[in-house]
Amino acid sequence: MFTLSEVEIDALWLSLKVAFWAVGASLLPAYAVAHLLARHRFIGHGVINAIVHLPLVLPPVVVGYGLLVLLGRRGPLGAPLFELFGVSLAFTWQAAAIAAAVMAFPLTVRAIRLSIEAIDPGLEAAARTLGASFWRVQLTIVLPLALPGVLTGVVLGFARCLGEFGATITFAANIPGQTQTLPLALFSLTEAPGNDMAAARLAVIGVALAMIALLTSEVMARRIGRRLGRQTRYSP
Amino acid sequence: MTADAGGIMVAAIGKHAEIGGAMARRAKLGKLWRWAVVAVALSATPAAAGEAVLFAAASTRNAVVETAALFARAGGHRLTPVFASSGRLARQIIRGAPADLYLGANRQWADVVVAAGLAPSPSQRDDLLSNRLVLATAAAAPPRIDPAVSAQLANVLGDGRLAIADPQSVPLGIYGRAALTALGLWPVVAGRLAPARNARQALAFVEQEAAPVGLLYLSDVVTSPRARVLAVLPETTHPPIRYPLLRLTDKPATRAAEAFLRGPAAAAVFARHGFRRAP
Repeated sequence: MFTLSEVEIDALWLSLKVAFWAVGASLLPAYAVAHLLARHRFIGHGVINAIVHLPLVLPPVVVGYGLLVLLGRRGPLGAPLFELFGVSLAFTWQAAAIAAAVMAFPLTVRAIRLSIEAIDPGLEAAARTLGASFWRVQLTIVLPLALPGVLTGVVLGFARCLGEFGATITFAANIPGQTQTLPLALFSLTEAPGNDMAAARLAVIGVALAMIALLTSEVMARRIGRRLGRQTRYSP
Repeated sequence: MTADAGGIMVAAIGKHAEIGGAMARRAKLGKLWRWAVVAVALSATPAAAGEAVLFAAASTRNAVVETAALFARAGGHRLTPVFASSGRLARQIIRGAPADLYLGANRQWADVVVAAGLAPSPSQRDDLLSNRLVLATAAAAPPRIDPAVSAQLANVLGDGRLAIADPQSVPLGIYGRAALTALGLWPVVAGRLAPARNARQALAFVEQEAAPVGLLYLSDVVTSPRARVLAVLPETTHPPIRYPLLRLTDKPATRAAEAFLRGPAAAAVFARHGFRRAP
């Protein structure tokens, strides 16, 4: 019977906690950016789009080092944080969550943006001519129609967070119980000799978790497909 | 999710063009997921020259890059260094990574390579360099501390963490744990470590002041523009820090590179970077 050891449970639980907070805290900004990119044309549109996608293309270690420089105690953001509030982010689970959030952001934004772009702008325009305010249109038309995409984005982002390694180890270090998520625990095991069995066990847990996340995402994607298909065929 | 952990280092490989092509493609994929290891491309040399790939401990980076440039200028062959923690490199060599030379930061990992039948047995003669352990900081006006007094270290640490390389697997961390244990400081800091994956990352934690104090190599602190030595740890507190140089192939380029690394020109570079010759 496959029972989990305490270390494995720690790493698993920490991974879930980090991923939960990373996705939870970045969801609203991700939706806002996705809406901005999908529905507005402005100077700098391409630049913002590129910046959002940067973590997808950059080596994660570069992102992690950037965060360390930015949020370290002498960094342009880290210094005031420390001096004003006594907050030092590096080497905390919050740092791991920030690293994961930055890495997952482009995936979440992409999924949401695609689903917003798929909405007929005529619906929004019609609602506006009938007197609905911008926010009412957002809440009663755009958000419900984009919801499947939002869910897909959440699951994709969550999956990406669970696998985050490079940015996390560079910004949050590899502290057991604090920042040692599943990938980092696995990395530590493979670095030291004689841990092949333990590493294999963690790999199995990792694969199981990734499968659950990806299958969920697949189901979501199918639902979107069905829903959009129904709309084009049966909508009045 | 484990893509980073299994990555094989990529070197700019001239002679092994077919391997180089495949590995370069892997590197392209790896951009998304892996720690991309920088393959240092050296200045152009005559096409007839051979090339030796040196897998070297992260702590030797600056000195080795400089030495490699000197070697290329001396004519004849090229030396292409690849850097990571000694253990990671040793494992990659065992799995068939195309290294010609291995410069590790402790004897244990070199022994692993030797045990795999990939190199001649290392003797005292094979050690190239030695190094010292220090406590270092990047804080302004650092106090000088006596490492034997744990209260002082605790004071300097405050509520921060001690930057160190992973004490389970990275040589700097293994040496550091031994030294801190011998000094009676391990119980003070064991729960307050910021373990990095190699010596240079531990240095980065100190340089960015993410950690107020770090346990680092003297050579890293000497060449760092920011970090300063708080205390040099007594050599009696840990096994001697030795960097064995192993020759893994018998090509002319490999032999020339090894001779150069053991020669006076390289010795001068290493000395300038805070290393000492292994006794």
